[in-house]
Amino acid sequence: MDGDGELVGLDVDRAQLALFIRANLITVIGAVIGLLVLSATIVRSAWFVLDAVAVAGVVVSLLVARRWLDGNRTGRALTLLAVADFVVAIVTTAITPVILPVTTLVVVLPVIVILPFLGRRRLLATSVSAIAAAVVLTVVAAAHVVHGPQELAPAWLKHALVIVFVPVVTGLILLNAWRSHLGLVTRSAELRRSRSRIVVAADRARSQIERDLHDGAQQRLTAVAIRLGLVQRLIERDPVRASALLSELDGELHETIAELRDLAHGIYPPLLGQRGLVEALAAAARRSPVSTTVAATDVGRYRADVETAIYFCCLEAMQNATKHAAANEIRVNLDSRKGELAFSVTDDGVGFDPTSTISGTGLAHMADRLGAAGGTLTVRSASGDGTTVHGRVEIDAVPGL
Amino acid sequence: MRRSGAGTTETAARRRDDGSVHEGAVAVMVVDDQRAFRSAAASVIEVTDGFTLVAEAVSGEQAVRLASERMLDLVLMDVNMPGIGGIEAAKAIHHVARDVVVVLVSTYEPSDLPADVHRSGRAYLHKERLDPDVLKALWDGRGSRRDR
Repeated sequence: MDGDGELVGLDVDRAQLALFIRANLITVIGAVIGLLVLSATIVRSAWFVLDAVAVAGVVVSLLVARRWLDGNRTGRALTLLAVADFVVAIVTTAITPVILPVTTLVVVLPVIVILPFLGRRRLLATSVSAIAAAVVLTVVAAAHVVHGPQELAPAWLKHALVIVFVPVVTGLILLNAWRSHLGLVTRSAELRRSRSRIVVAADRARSQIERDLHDGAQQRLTAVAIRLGLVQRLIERDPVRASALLSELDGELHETIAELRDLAHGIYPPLLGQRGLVEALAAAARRSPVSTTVAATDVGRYRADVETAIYFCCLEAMQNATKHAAANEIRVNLDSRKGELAFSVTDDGVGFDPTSTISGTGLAHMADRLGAAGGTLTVRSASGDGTTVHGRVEIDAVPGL
Repeated sequence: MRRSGAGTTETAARRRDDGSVHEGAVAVMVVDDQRAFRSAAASVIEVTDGFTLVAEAVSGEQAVRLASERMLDLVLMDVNMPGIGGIEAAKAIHHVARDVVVVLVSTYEPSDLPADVHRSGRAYLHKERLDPDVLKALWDGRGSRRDR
């Protein structure tokens, strides 16, 4: 994502989440060091070492979450982040109940952080878990099960911890709330723009169909009508010429039929509706002037808007590879697993610099089209190193939730 | 120029600087970026007595150039073409060869045409209706404003 030639497209939120994880890693590693220093100097208690181990567990979970995030397993990464947060809050409160005001705020943090990524059900589950964690915290603090560390710590240190960390964690929550707000504002502005681009593209497509019909089939049929009139006029007077005109008509009509067939096919490929993505893309691959293979794993039938969006994204990517990338080979992959349908179109062509080419190309239209079906698009390319267009759509996702 | 056939007969030899004169027939140029219509119009002109196809142009610009180079009587000019288009080309031809009759043609119904087609005062012909009789009638009326 950092200048390695990858386009994040609609994945801005995920990039922010990765940034959040990185910032958290630094903070949590600092906390582990702080706790170890504390246990070795001011408060000589093994419990702080245990607390440091619990916080170190958060470091591990953050690293795993980052890995899952890179592997497009966002949901799993978010769950891990929330659980690690709850566990460390409970352990810390058990060891030092005086820290309860801070840890209460800490359990609210994951809800705020992951807000932009969750559907209604998961958000509800996370919120209920946060409330449960807050109840456990209060009980653990009241029970005061671990004696020692809190009693060993000087009063100024306990006050200082609460005075410093309550505003810090409150600040973090507000920062994330602000980030979520900005994210939503950006997303709504992007939705407005993409909606307008989709309308413009649809109008342009209709206008193109009108032009194709007018300049193609209509002109040819007009010419046929004119010649038929002549044939009618000449058939008795000059049968030889009439016959010559008829054979011209035959050629013209066949060209018209072929043109109408191509045009109809471009509007909606018949195999897509009848047999689904795999057969429709295999047919497109056979028509492609560049050697193209289509591989599919567990791909069945899906909502019409999903199938159409993926078909036209793949087709556009194949056409780009043929027209602009001078590719020798194109590979199309379709893969359906865990409620997600993913596709990729990879070519061995000249590639391009995605940071300079994203706007004003078919890529924006592809992202819009996939976005309207509830999916996201990623383009990886570098000059001289081919291009991979990758997209995914959650099959059971309801757009807007 | 001499024109014979059904309808009026007229002598109106126009002579250009190069001294070329069309021998009797009405000299027609067909202007269209679509090959299909140019070729069908050529067939109509070929079988119409007293008319001869002297030029074909694929754009308004080429039509204007040809109009200044050749002896023409009648131009069948498509309205919609890339570049200057039929209406502008007709105006430009009027400047270089005032006597040439330009008839605008297209596959649109008159109601779907831009207003400047009607304002141009030129005859308009739906391509589909082109046949030898219509061609003669257009010439006899000298491209008078009448949508066909």
